[in-house]
Amino acid sequence: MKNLSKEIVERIEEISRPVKIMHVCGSHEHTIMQHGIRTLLPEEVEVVAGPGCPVCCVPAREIDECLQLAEKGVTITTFGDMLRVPGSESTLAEAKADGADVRIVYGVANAVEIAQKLDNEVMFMSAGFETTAPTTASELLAGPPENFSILSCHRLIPPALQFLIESGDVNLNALIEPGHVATIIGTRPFETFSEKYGIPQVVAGFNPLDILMAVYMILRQIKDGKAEVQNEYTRAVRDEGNIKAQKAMEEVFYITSREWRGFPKIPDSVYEVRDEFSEFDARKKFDIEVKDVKEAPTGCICGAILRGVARPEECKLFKKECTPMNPIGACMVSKEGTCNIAYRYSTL
Amino acid sequence: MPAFKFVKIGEDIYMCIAAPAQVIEIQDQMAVVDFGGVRQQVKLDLVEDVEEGRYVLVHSGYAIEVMSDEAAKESLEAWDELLKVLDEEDEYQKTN
Repeated sequence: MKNLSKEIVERIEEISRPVKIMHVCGSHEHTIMQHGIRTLLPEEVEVVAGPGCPVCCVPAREIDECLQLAEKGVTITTFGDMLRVPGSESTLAEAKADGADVRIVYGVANAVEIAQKLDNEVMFMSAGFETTAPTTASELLAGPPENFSILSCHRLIPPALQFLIESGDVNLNALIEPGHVATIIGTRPFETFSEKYGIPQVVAGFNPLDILMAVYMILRQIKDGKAEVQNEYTRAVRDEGNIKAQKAMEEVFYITSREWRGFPKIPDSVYEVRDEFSEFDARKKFDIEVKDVKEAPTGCICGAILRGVARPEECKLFKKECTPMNPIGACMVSKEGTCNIAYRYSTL
Repeated sequence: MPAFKFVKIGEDIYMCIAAPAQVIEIQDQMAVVDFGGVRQQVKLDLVEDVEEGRYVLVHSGYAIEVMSDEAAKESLEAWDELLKVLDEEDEYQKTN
């Protein structure tokens, strides 16, 4: 068997040119760091991480909302990474240590099971991009118990990309699109970035060869003067996506504008629960009022890292005050966070 | 043989990671799937036309897509094939 990674790297070198490629997926960053892909690429081919970690993108305000419910005695269920993400003053882990009922689940189905067993109100803090949102939608459609609700923190990738491109902050030339978001939404929602802004894009999988192939396909497009959406991850992604999952999301959620960590309010970028399902919407079910949000801990540059304009090494706190054992910013908390990944692979 | 294996199932949850698994048994909207030795129950509400023996992409306890057997196995031939397709496109462009 020939050495495919070597062959692709050679092809990249042949047509190499200065380019800044952004990806928006924590799992892509993980593959890139784990396999040292940046060191395989010519220096002029830069791959930067954007807002690809759904846990990191949850702003302090939404953590504060959860903390308020925890204080009211509601059982909070969420993904493990969420526990240490900083709210304005505190985290869910601290609330748990102080006696709040905060439980880690592997997914929304797990949270519904907990609600079935408890008399107490159970709220699922549902973070995640388009990959995860259909699972939440599916549980609401199936009719969960009365004591169950969700606090939707679901965020959408294309509006964030639109915002980043228009802000011009990053000066990105090309995009590697997240394969599992595209498994659900298909390749078409990305087309506008090629048509309107002339940005070459490749939807990629999570094997190191997928990433190398995506970089090669992007350089090839630039060489040929093309800008289109190409699908490298045909193993899982169809152009139309998963229609059944899309229908479930549309039935349960509507799209609205809200802030992301490190970003101001991004237009049409989050999912909120439709009125028909308001009995399961924690924001409607309970009185939640969050005021005076403190967005980022002092000195933390998570926001710039999420926008792809800074690398973790540029942060004064990185590997000093801020470590995975004692994370200060959200990007160090989550295993998909750019700082957390950079820490783990820089100390090997 | 898969080219690389790095998706961890269990305590390390990568939120947008999904892993292929083979469907062993279907009962109503639930299936037992096999991740090369590790078995797990998954929900089938988000997919259509899934059968025992087929491969599905699993995310957060749900099957989110049905895959072909070849696709799920991530064989190196798949990338080799893709390179050939790209080269053929180049040839086509040159001759037209």
